[in-house]
Amino acid sequence: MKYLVKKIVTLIMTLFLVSVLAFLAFQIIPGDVVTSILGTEATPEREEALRKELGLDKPPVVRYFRWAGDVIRGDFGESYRYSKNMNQMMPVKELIGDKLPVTLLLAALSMILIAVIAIPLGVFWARSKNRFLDVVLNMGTQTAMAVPSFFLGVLVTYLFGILLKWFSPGGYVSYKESFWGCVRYLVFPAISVAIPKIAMTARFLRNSMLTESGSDYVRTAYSKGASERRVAYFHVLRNAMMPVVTFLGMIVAEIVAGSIVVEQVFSLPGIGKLLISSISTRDFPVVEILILYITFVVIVVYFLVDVLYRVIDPRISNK
Amino acid sequence: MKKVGAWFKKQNAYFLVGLVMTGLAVMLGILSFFWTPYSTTAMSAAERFHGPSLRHLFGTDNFGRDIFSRVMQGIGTTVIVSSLIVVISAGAGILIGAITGYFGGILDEIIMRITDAVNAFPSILLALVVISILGSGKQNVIFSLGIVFAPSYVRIVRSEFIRLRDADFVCRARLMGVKKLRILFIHILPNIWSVFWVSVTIGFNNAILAESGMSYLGIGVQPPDASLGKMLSDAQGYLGRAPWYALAPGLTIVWIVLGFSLLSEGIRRKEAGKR
Amino acid sequence: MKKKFGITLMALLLVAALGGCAGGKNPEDKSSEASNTTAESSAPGQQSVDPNASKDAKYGGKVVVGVQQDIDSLDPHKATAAGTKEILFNIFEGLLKVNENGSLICAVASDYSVSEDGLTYTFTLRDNVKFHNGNNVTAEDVKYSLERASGLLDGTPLISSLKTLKSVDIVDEHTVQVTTESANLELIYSFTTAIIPKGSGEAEGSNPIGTGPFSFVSYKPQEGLVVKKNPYYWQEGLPYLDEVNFKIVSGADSALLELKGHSIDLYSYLTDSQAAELANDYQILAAPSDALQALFLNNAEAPFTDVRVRQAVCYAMDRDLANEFVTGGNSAIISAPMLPTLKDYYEDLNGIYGTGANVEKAKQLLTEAGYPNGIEFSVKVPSNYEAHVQTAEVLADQMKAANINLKIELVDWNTWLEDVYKGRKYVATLCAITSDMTPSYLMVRFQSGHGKNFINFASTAYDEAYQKAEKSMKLDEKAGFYKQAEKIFVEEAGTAFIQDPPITIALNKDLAGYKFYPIYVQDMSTVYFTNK
Repeated sequence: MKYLVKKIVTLIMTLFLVSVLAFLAFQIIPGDVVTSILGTEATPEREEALRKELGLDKPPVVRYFRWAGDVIRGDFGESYRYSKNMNQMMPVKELIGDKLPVTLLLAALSMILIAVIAIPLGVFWARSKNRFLDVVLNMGTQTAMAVPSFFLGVLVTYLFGILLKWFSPGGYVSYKESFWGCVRYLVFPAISVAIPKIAMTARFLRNSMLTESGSDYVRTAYSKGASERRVAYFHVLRNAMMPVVTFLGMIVAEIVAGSIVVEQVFSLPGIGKLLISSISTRDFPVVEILILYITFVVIVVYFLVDVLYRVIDPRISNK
Repeated sequence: MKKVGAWFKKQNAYFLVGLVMTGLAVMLGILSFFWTPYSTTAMSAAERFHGPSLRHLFGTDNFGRDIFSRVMQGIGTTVIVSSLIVVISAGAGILIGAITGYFGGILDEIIMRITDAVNAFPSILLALVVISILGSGKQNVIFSLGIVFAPSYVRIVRSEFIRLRDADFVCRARLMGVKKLRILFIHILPNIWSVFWVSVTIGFNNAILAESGMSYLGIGVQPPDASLGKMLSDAQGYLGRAPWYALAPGLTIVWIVLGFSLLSEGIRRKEAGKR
Repeated sequence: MKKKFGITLMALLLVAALGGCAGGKNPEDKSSEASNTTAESSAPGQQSVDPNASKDAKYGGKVVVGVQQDIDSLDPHKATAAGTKEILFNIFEGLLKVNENGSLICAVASDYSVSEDGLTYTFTLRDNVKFHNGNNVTAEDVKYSLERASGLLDGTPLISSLKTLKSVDIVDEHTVQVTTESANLELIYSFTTAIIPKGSGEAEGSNPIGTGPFSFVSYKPQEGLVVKKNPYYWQEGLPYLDEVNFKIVSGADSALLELKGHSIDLYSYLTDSQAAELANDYQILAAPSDALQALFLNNAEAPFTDVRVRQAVCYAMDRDLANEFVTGGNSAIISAPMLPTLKDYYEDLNGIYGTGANVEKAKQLLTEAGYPNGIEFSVKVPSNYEAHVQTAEVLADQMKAANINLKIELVDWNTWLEDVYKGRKYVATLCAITSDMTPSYLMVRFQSGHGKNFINFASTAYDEAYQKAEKSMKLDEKAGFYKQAEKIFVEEAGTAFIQDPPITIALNKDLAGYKFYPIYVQDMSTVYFTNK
């Protein structure tokens, strides 16, 4: 319990710190949201009116606390930039709520790919006695990890989209229109997200399994006459998975926090893309909430991994 | 086939292959400061989009510039920028991670919160802030990305220090009255190198990618200077017409990062072999 | 399909002075009571269905149009981004409307006249123009729309050119009279301001409703806007398409990929080499973009305080080369702050500095100005405009020969707006300014001390010539003063103009009927699928 309280306090402190940093950042960077919205041809009267409407005529400190107060009350404000209709701006909540499923779906697909491919690959690799295969896998995974993500995205688009025509680049189907159509499209960005992560996870799992195989309990299991297969799958894998879980947790956090590059390359309307465009249009309310969201996700996922660890391995909490 | 595998193990071929790959790239990069086959900026309307040939090893780009020469220059820029980013972030990571990990306490709490905050902060926004305070240019990109990447090193170094602070040899040193700084950097630090090297490799990779990303936003290296990331993003628009334009810098990045990874794998294996 | 410059471009102000509309489906339109029957009346039906086209034209179908920018507002009076206006052109119309030649044609109005003193405009409303909701457009709606846009309603003018309106009065249910504070021949263009239902700004809410050929269906931030055919549209036979989806594409590179994957039917603003890459799969059409690209020099910053240095830059610039490299030789080289589209006002001043590089002359001027070793200065370029970045690269390489060294500095768009455009904290910048159909639009800003004079140009001779031009109520005289002002500006080398880059579009091979406009719009009403 004390542990949980401590974690929650940390979370709140970090969120506060992040929100202040983001606010300060917006004070510093050039670019006025009013000009950004109205362009260069607007009348000064309109600029003034808009400034007032957005509350930008108030001093920064007042603005920050007013904003923070609203957020605490659950009011995330409205985008400066996106209008919902003729006379109402888009609430940030709705805007993000609309983009989030895309990112989450992408994350889910990527995780499925990673789990389905990396785990068997890692186990197979750890058990393989073939040195040549070891070299091939080693080089292969190293190479996969060395490809820059936007280069990978471009390569996937080029290969599957343009040469093989398995999907039409940019032909993203909204999940609201057709869920499976959306999944079908998202498979390809998921592939580009997954490839380096598969390589990392497989390497990680292999190393972890090799370390575990040297442990006492494995020797005991052998001496008891357990088959090699049984040892590999039941004993070693279970223990070797623990650090892998942490690793996968970090990957989840990373993807859920928005795969900015991949979303850009495949023009997916997810939160990564929203973050970039909101920064470049100086849409402060959207950026603030997105940053808070990302912080929240990262910290909570780390926390869950930590909890999971304690559940799997009671030794940690006893310590 | 088995022989290849055995040879790899015996000679520590990872180290050799990595050394050759990075060595070649770095040499080309250094050479570019003195000499390139063609000018890296001179344009020629007649030579636009020529495919790779003996005259132009990697072909020419949309301005008729020799891509090989620009890749050479790009390696120079990218390697220097990325190395400095790694040096700054890893240096800060060791310092902060060692102190917070070893001593713990309230300082640890505060610094970890700040690291978390920086970690979650979009690097683009941070870069925009740094650039608007200090102006654009290479050194500021290095600085801002150095900050962005520091938290990941802090995390790793810190957890290693936490693991080792109660180890036998540390306790013994403490009992013998060894100074704290000495314990930190002479006794503990060498024991975390293998973990640290791996993260430096990944960090180097990330730094190259981030520098490319910054260039993409127009924050990093300014044209007409070449950086691999900038070239790659410029080339994206010509993928169908001149695929070599994208492939040359893209594969060069893969080459460098791979070389570097193999090198560190080799180092790791050598270390493991010694024990 | 390249649009010719020679097309009968309208004598805008002549029409304005006399009243009456060019073309339009209005057989009983006998507005030209005045003795001058203009050339315009002999070119009827600019906007109506092209008889040649309609033979193989097919009704129906859906089209996806790739657009570059997200929409800033669905409110036609509040929208300012060019990227939004280009879409809203399909949903809204004003009393008048610009056609593809740049002429004004009647839309919601069927006729208008201007009083001799130029202070009163009388508009006759067209019968049976309906809003997308099926209601007829009434004089009340027109009054409301103009009052809202001009600030008469609540004191906040939404469209700055309408600020001079004094009152909007309903004469009868078909006639609206507008009075202004001062006579201005160019004001007539502001009556293209969208007509919206009375009270809609505040109450109607969820849907933008206008009278345009397409009606609003849905909008999603970052994804796009969908419109469908307006069954009530007053121009018979238009539009052809059932549905148009304006899809926001994140960048030129992803646009290219999407075009290759055939998920967009139409995309404008391709670069030259992108167009070359798509030539097999799409129809590639090009026309002048009517934007004026220039290396803007800050006249208040050293070394450009010295006219000789500015001239040296103009001489040293090889604009033919930039044209060749960046736009495949399809640009129109321009030297004056005026677009060739505005034929009556445009003076070809390319002779003054030449279109190629004159290195000797440039060096000589620099030496005279006290820079025998040349100059180096920073050029801020908005990083999101690939064409500007490329032009800057070409110039930087080419101008080295004249000892003029450009240090390119890429900045993001909002930083550019604040630091360069508003803050004027720059030495030189490479970008383009767009224009509307009024000659004053580009030139008003270069008056000394003008709020938009971001290059800090100062010349009393220019100011005088410009003011005379603006005040003049006679077309010839007005054009003469404008040309005089242009010449002064160019001789003073206020800035180094480069070119009017072409706009290049890729169009699905099954589509036809696309029309280029001299303003920044995407008119989808005339686009149709061919019977193939």
